[in-house]
Amino acid sequence: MSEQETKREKDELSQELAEWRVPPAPGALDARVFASYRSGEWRHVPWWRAAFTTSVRMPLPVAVALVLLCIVSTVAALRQSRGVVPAPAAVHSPAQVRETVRETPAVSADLRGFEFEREIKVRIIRQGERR
Amino acid sequence: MGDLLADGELLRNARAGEEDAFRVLYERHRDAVFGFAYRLLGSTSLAEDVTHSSFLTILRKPDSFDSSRQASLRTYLCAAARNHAFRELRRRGAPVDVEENLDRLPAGGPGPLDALVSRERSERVAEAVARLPPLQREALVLFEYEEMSIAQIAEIIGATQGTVNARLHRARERLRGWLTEGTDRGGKP
Repeated sequence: MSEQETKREKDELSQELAEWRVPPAPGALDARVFASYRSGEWRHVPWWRAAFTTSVRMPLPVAVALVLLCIVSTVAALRQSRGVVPAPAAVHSPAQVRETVRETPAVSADLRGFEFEREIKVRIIRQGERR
Repeated sequence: MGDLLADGELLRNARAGEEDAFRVLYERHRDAVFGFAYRLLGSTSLAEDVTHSSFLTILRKPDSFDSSRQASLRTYLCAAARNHAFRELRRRGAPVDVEENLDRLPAGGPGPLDALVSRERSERVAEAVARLPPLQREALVLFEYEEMSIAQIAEIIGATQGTVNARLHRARERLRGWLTEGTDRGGKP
């Protein structure tokens, strides 16, 4: 098809499309727009209204991944909270504390004279054999 | 007052509370925005809602419109109207029916027969355009009826000029087929 024919076809189509006319804007629209203008509703949009009317579009895989992440983290948090057993609260009277301190064996580590083994002899002890 | 002022200045004054400035701005662009919304949605009441919301949007977010850039306020208003219209289409889940009040269409000729013929033609084109997928429809409406350039349309819909060209081409091809088919059969497409 030549360029001229294409252009002519385009013109014909445009002419045909021009047959579609739009009805005039209803008079109520003007009144509505000016009422909104005067009320100043466009000045301050409450945050809660903005929060409810704002929408975020995202690809489905991202949305699914986010939902899965939420589920997994919730389950993990629940499991963790069940697994940790809180230590029983220990209530000690001062007398008990003193007693405990008294009973604690004294641990002393005297390393004087300690020497490393120069030669290590490995001996296998079988079951029932005397040491 | 203000008839000669640029859109950017009128918008600033309107935001400052000058109703006259807003009136000039509104009257300057109302028909274009309403026509665009009507052709996208095919319903007077929805087009009214979209036009109302679009004008409130430019008052609410004036910073989004940069008058120093090439884009005109009409482009910006059409972009706002497009967003509102597509939100409405998504909410409804399907494109809206073509017309609910054809009797409100302006008559095309002097006599009643002319008016009837004109109305029929108008209805035929409206139905054909309504059959287009929404993205092709908006490209066609902006190009054919709003007389915007490919670059302006690309800016409004946030796509490349190549994409706009492709959508426009596909829309024209389909329309040509449907309208010819309708004419050959002597009925609606």
